[in-house]
Amino acid sequence: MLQLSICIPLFAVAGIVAACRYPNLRESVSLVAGFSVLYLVFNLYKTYQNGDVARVLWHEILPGLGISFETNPLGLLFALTASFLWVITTIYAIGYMRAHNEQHQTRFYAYFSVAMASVMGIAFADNLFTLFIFYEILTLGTYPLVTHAGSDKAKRSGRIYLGILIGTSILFFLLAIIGTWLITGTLDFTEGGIFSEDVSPVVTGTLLVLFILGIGKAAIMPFHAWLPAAMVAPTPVSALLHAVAVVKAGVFTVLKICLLIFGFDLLQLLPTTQGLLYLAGASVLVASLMALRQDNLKARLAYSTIGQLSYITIGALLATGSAIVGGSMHIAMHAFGKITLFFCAGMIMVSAHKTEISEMRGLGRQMPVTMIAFFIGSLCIIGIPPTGGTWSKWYLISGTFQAEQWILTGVLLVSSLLSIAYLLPIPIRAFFPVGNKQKIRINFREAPMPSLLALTITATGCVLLFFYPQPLYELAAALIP
Amino acid sequence: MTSLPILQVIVPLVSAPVLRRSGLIWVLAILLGSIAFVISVVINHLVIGTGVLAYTPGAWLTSLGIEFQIDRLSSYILPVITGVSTLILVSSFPLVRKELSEGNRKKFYISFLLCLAGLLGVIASSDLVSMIIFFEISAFSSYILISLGSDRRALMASYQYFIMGTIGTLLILAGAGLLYMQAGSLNMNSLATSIAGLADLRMTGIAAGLLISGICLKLAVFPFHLWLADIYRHAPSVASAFLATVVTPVFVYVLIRVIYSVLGPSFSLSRLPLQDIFLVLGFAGIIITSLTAIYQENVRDILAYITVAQISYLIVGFSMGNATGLTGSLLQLFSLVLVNGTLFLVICAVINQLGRTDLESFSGLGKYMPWTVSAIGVGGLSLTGVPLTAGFISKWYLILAAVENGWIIAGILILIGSLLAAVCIWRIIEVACFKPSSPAAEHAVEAPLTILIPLWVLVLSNIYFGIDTRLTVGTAQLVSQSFFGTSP
Repeated sequence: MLQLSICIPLFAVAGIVAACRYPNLRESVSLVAGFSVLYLVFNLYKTYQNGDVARVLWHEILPGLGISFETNPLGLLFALTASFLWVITTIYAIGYMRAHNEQHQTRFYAYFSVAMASVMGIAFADNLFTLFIFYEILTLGTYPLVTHAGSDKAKRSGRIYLGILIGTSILFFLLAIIGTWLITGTLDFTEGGIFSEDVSPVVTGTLLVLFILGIGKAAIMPFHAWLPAAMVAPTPVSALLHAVAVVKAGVFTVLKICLLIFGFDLLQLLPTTQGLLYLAGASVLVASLMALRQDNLKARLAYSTIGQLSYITIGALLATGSAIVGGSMHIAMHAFGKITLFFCAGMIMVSAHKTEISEMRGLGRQMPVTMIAFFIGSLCIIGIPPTGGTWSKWYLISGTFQAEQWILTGVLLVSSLLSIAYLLPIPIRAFFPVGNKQKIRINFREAPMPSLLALTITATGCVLLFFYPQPLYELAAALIP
Repeated sequence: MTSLPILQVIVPLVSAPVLRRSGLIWVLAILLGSIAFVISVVINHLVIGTGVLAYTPGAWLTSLGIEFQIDRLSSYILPVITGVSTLILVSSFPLVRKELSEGNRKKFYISFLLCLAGLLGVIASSDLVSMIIFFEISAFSSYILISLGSDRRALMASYQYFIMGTIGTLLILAGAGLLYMQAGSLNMNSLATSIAGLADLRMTGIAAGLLISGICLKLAVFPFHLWLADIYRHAPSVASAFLATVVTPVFVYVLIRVIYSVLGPSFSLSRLPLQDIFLVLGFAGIIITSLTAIYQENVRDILAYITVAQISYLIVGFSMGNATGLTGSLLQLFSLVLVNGTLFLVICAVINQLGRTDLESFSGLGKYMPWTVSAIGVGGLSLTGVPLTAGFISKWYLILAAVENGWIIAGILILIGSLLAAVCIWRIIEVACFKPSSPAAEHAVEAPLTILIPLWVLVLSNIYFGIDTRLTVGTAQLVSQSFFGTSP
């Protein structure tokens, strides 16, 4: 069952390519694959709750280096979020791609499946080697999605995307993996970490720096430039991959490494942890400030994502119970919130043909459902009740209290204020345009139905997660020793 | 069974001027290549069990110390050499028909088989005399092979190669002669034992130096590599493929034999300053040739410089001075054969369809020759050393060896080299897949099956040997441990 969750999306690729002449059939293949993966992951979750852990070993390439998978709490959290949102995004994409008359739709859906297969591989990876392989496959598989438009700008952005992600993985991440293997002889994820006590803190400290810098998908500054560049992709790509799959794979890897390779106690002892925490804090602030300055909606959302990802990195590095819970829950909360925001951005582009925020005044009359959903999504990102983001923010801030890192508490609070400033004006001005004397034609032209449906589901999800965060909390709390 | 070592050398020689029609010669060549391959696999199997397979020719030859012997190192390289040669032979027919005139085709196949026989003889030799003789046989046939190229500059390139090769041979002969004066025999086994006693004499050092320089010259080790690109450019495409994929690895084999078997690692690496020289030349080679490759405008030139870069990785592995380093170099040798095979067969396919290999005419080729261009992609992944390919295994061991010595910078340089290789291949892929089609590409049709099938067999072997490493890593480790005297 575990293996199937990875293989089904791969088989779906064949189905999608075969059905390229029949759009409806092709889309149904994607949907069926998405539902099956969701069902499988949910089953895995249920069996995990009963105490049954599934393990699969595919192949041992070199002694001590094998490709193996295991159900684990954080992986289940990630996989559940990603598979659910894959189904929703496929529904959204159907509306978007057809309304926008996009070219190369078969290629789009096919590589989407490839990306999802690699996400499942990352989520369930049992050791760093397996995770690294699927991490790289994810980068390569999403490249055609980023450069979908085929324009010169798309190709340039694609080059930045590949350049930063592959550069950081090979130069820093791979080096750190090799170093870890040489020192400890293993790459398995183990509770409490795999480094023994007598390894010098300088060495492990350097390894930590290499890991954090090497995981380019977590978009910590200065390796963040690929995120705004990737906004050239069609919105469903930005929505799923850059709010859910690619970036979450990055912070997921950060969490796994901090928890299960280094371990709580070691992280608190290392000299470099503090420096990295400050780097992450700086990323949060700088990204939020840059978001304020962007007029293009997708660019603003991109910088917002960079900041939010660093929240999770802070949570991982703080290494206290609450921080880990907060960081892990934020994977799901931010995913729901951001994907709603991106969905709305896409619909604004398709139905109202607007991409700049300054043009979006008064849009609420034209697209009320979309802008309400945008409002709910913003609340989730900012962390205000009644949205799920409240809980993850709560635990993250408690985490900074527990660790007595007052500067970081300050950073988190200031950035929440900044996120109010860069997100809330958009829906508010859409409904209550200030100082706009123009006559606004009340022309109800909402988004196409499938996309509208997807929007509503994710926005509702944000609110539901406020009232029912328990499953996520339980999975996250299972990580605390 | 005992005559197997010599049998697989003789088999390719059989073809000789027996048949007239080039088509039939092609079939015969494939047949002979396959027989040689089967024999190599059988030998490999036997050697795993017994360790050594020896064949002693007639009495008067033995008194000169001439002997043929296959040990683990030779049997490691034999199957892959014969296998890839057969694959190249299979794919050769359309190209031979296109690039060579009727009269030359027969000469081509005969020289090819002669060259192969010479190389197999080199591998099977257990003494320097017969090794040099077979070496020269293959060298002279390769001069002929190159000169058969379709434009007249092929003659010039062949002449250049001839001069370089002869200088190399003179150095090797001088070195061998000095060694003979010291040791009284040129049998590699007896040299290995007596070297320890001679190690103090300066002469031995000079002899060793001459030998190694000669081999490095013929191998086009950086910085003696500038003539390589010219040759690949003007030789017939099948000949370039053969040279890069089969001839070069055998030269590397000779280098390994001389450094490790004959002279022994402690003499070569500690007495002679080889460790430092190889370290510097190796890394300079990787970085400089990779950078040069990035700026080339013709894909053939890119591949020529990439080949030199791959050889430099090998040299770096030698410089590590430990068993893991030699394991890494041996694995790099294996993956070099597979990667070069893939990439050079792609060149063959492109020449067959387009007639030219400049980067501009590759524009948009991905749409018309998808199988060929995806082969470049996978070959590139293996070249870079992405996990799940054969190239990853070799890079892994090289980096392990560097870290074993505590040379972290060396490990980082190896990774930088990988990135540079990735950039080279990326340039080609980007042009082939993401640019509008060039006029040349638009008329292109996918290469014929006779080229595609061998190409994809090689592509899939890259992946297979990246996943199932028992054979390659196991043998390489046994070989290196036996040379370094450490127990497995």
